[in-house]
Order: sequence, then C-alpha cells, then structure tokens
Amino acid sequence: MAQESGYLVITDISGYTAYLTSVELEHAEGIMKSLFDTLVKEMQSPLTISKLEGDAIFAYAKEGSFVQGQTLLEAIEKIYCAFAMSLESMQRNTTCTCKACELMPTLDLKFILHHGTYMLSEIAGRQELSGTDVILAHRLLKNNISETTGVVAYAFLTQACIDAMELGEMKEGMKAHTENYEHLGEVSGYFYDLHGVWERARESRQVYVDPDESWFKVEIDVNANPALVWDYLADPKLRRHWLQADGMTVTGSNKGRLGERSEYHCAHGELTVIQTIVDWKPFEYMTLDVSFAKDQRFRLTTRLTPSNGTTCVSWYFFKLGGSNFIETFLTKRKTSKMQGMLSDFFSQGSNLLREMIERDIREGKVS
Amino acid sequence: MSQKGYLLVANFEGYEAFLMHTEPEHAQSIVNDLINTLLDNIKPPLIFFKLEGGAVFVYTPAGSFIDRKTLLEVIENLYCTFARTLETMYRNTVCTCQACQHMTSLDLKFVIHYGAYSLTKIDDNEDLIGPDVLILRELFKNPIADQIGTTGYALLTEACVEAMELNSQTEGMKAYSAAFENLGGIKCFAQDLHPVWENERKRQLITVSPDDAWFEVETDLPVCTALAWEYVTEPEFRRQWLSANKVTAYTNDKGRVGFGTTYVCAHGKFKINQIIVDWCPFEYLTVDTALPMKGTQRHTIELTPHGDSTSVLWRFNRAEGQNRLHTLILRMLFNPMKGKLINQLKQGGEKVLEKIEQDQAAP
Repeated sequence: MAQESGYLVITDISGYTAYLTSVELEHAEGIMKSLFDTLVKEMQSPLTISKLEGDAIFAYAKEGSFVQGQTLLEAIEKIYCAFAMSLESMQRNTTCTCKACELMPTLDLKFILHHGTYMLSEIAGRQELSGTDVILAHRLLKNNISETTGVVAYAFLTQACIDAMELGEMKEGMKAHTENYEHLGEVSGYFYDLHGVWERARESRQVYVDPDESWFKVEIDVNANPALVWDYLADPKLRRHWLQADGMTVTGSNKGRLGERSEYHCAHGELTVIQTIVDWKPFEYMTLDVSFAKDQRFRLTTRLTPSNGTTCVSWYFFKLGGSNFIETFLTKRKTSKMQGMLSDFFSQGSNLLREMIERDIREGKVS
Repeated sequence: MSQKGYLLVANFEGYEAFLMHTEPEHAQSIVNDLINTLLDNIKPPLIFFKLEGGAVFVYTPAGSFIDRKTLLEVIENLYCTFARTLETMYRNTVCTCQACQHMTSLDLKFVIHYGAYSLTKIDDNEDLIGPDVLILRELFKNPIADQIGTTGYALLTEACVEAMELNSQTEGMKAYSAAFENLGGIKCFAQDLHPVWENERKRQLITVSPDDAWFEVETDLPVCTALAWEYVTEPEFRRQWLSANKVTAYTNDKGRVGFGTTYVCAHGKFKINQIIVDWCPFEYLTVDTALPMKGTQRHTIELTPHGDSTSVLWRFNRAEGQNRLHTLILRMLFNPMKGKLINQLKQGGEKVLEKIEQDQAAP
C-alpha cells in the first residue's frame, strides 16, 4: 500500500437522477453512453481515471503531473467543453421527440477538485484510492452551491487545491464557498461557472497555421504526454529557458491566467520580441503572432500530436503581411530573410525543450 | 439492453469515522483485508462488478436462484464471514494503535433492491446504470443505523421482498421508508444481522465424519454451490434424491427451510420424519431421520466446489438406538438395506442431473 499526494478530481453529471427517472431507459442508455464516452476520452493526462461511479467519474493527478496550476483548470475546462459540445451536437442532430432526447439539456457537469494524500492499493485487480481526502472529495459532491447561487455547471476547488495549484490572483475570478460536514468540519474553497467557459470557447474563432500553407516547420518528438509538454511551452519561466531569452514577462493575462490576447515579452539582449497569443487550445495547439520589428512579423502555431506515449511538437511558421499590398510585399520580403536564423534558433530551442522535460522526468520533478 | 435482477451493495457502517479518526495506514489495511474477505466469498451466481470506497457492488440476474430466499442465505453467510474475520483480526492483534483497537467499530450493512439495470462498458470501466441503480446508491448512502437500531443489517426494498417472495418473513423485520428527490418514497424492510452471527457463533457443528461413515455417495452437479445447495435442500429435489413419493418441509421460521425444519418423506404408506440438525448454507447440512422406538440415523450432505461444478457428497451414519440392544436391533434391520439406499441415491442424483440439464437447456 503506497501513500501518495496529488489532486483528486470528481466529474459529476448533474441532473442525472431526475433525467434517468423521467425518461425511457432504453433511449437514455445511448445518450448516457455517448456522454460518458466523451468524458472518458477527454480525461487524459494529467488526469488518470480511477473509476466510474454511477453519475460521476473519479480521477486523480499525481503530484508533478503538471507544472503550472493553470494546466489543471485547462484540463477540466477542456472536458467541460467536450461534454457541452457533445450534448449540443446530439440535440442538434436528433429529430426524435422522445423524453430522453427532449430532456437532454437538463444534464450538465460539475467538478470537485481537492488536493491531499491518498493510499493506492490493489484490490480485485484494480488500483484503489482511499483515505480521508478521498472521502472528503466525495462528500463535496453533496453541496449547496447550486441551491445558494443558481450555478449548475461549476468547478469547485478546495482551499487545499487552490494552495497546491498556486493559483494566486487567478482565484479572484472565483467565488468563495464553504461547506460543513460531519466528521470533516468546515471545508472552504472557491468555485467558478463553467457556462461562461463554454460560451467563450464556442464564440472563439480558430486561428492556426495550416501545415500545407506553412512557410517552414520545425519538429521534434518528446517522451512526455501533451499536457506536460504544454506546460513547458506555456509557462513563462520554462519558455524563457528553452527560448534562451534573457528575460520573459507576460502582459494581458486574465488575473494571472494566460490565454488569448496575453503577450509574452521575450528579451534577447536589447531586442524585445513580442509574442501575442491569438489562439489557445490547451494540449492541442497555440498560435502566436510574433513581432520582431514593425516589418518583421510571422505567425507561429505550435501543435502537439500524441503518439504512443510521446508527443510530437511541431512549430509551423507563416509570414504575416501588412495593411496594404506594398507593406505586405516589403514585410514578407524582410521576414523571409529570417528563415535561416529562425530555423536554427527553434531547432536549438526544441532540443533544449526536449532535454529539459526528459531531464525533469528522470529526476522525478515531474511525471 | 436493460435486464432485471437483484442489485446488492455491501457497505461498511462506520467506515468514514473509522478512517478519519484512526491511523490511516493500519485503518486502510484492516478495511482492505475485510474487503478481500468479502470478495473471496462473493461467488456465482453473484457477480461482483466494482468497489467504491468501502462499498462492494454486486448483482445477479433474475432467475439465478431457484428458491429466491437463497439470496438471504448468501447475505447472512457473507455477514458471518465478515464478523468472523473481524473477530479473528481483533483477537490476534497485538498492535495498540487506534485503528487496531477500534476495528470492531466497523460493521457491515447490505442494501438489496430488485429492478432493471443496464450494463455499460467504457474502456476498461464497467458500470450499471438505470433508475433502480440510483435507488440502490441513494439507499446505501443514507445513514439509517440510528433509526433501525442496528449497524449490521440487510435492508431489502419492497420490490426486492416481493421478487424474493419474502412477504411472510417481513414480520420480524423493521419497516423503514425513505424518500429521495426524483426517486420518490421507497419502502424497505431491515433485518438485523447481529442475531444471525450470534446464533452462528453458538452453533455446534454436527456432521457425520468420514471415520463414522456407514457409506458415502458422491455426485457431481454442473452448477455453482449456491445452486447445488438448492438442488439438495428444496423438497421437490430431495424427493428425487430419496425416490420418495412426496417430501414436505415443515418450517418453524416463516416458511424458510433451515435449522429445525422437518422434512416429511412419504414412501408409499410410510411417512418418515427427517429433521435438520445443522445447517451451514452452501457447505453442508446434517439431517436426523427418525427410526422406530426413537432411534435415529444421521446423514450429512457436503458440498465442495470444483471449478464450475459442485460435488455433492451424501455421508450416512449407522443407525443409533436408545441403548446398545436397541442399536444392535436397528443395525440388524437396516444393514441389508445399505445397497438399496446407495442405489436410490445414485439414481436420485441422476434424476437431479437430468433436471439440471433440462433447466440449463431451457431459455
């Protein structure tokens, strides 16, 4: 029996009981199966599924499975958006008038996130998680958030989780909430509405460099899962390192959280390169508009493709134009001259990135 | 596709308080040992499908038992196994930590419901879904020990009582009603399992040992032990084993066959009384046959599982009288019947086998 510490994450379908008891089981079965399939498929690194628990999925993330706290938020938001998208597309594509199809919109999702210790033991051929913190996470499923605030789709993070994730000012966008349980006493934390996340995701346009239209690309395979690689690409401290910058600052973050419209300011000697995030799809790709000078600009999509335990990281470059034909012509011509330098620079950077991640895994800093 | 059956959850009462207020390593190790004991004893036709904390989820499709009351025997057996293990662990520990000293604060409760469910598999994860599964989940999470006055109990829903045809046995049970949002009111009956364990503890083992055997007859039945148990204890099958014209069971426990039940076997004009003197479900039962002048003849039926089949061994003792002379006379009278009895049992076993084959071939 091994004791470990990490994050305990319970994903719970709200409205499940009311739904299943008011619709035809035969019809509901397919819908529930499809939703659970979506959830299980999305529940990848840094999360590991422990088991299905009726209307919930119990998962965990070991200590060190991500570097910045934001990554865990990205992971659950990605799951929420996949769930919402699946539900929406099922609704859109059905002409069925049965109750099971009609009442689909009453289903929603909530997340409980807690940080603590747990014991891993093998029972009946499966790894079982147990301990006080596991009980606490499960108890939190029964809470008053919806009753008192009307928010149905939310992520509730216990104070222990907020502290471990070092969310800092990121929690300012969340609401404080306290529950009280027998044997456990007061449990406080923060929650935030996930409907807003889905609305933003639905409205956001996709911006990326199409591989077929790219100016050139740099590619490397890293022995790590996409969520971990994402951390090394996104975290300013780590990004500074593999980009060999003298300094790296971030502006335009949303209460400390990086995303669209945030900017990395990369200092190389006297030169400051501004990288503006124009699309941010965690663990899949990020697109940045990079500006060296007024007339030296390019778009860069970093795409992560998982394959058998490794992640292929591809940087696709695309020359950006100006506001008119002449400006576009001149900018592209000037930017073209940078190809050799950029290619060498990112080849070196990609090797550094791989070395950093694989070394940190070897040294047990991350997993 | 949904199907109907019995949904059962065995859950430790006092689990959360025990884990929270004692040393986690030892507490978890104790709980794991108890869970493993339960899992080792969950056998066909019960199907284990998952664990959730201290809760073991099991189901069995409708029609898995011939006599549906057998499920109650299964539950009582599991409870006694749990209680025996806990008692042994407690007796054998020399550790003075809180977990080891307070392990007896744990108890075991069962919630059993009958209804529809649907088996779903997503990747390696298997689960049952359906409104009846939700009823089971709500009931096992509902703390009712204070209301029913015991921490070791079997809570049967009304649907389960009806499906098991236990209506006549609910008199000794405590009625309990629960109401859940979206699920409505659920009427249940709780059976205290403490007296079951107390009786089991006091029970004297009565068997015919191999050394005392007059003769033995063994038959292999291609079924699990729980079903084989029904094929040797149900009056109709007993009639076939013993080539009787009719066997009637007179019970003293609201229709439930068990310790103290008398089988009356009619062979032509003769009626022979056979009383169950030891009843250890799915392992053995011992029966005393009343002979003239208060003589008796004892036999034990032992069940031993072999993979998917079960060996049924009938072991007969020689007749016993009130005194030496009586015993001598009885044995002189019965000795010539030995061959006939052996043949009867062998033929009876074949008839039961035929019946099993018919049952298995039936849809």
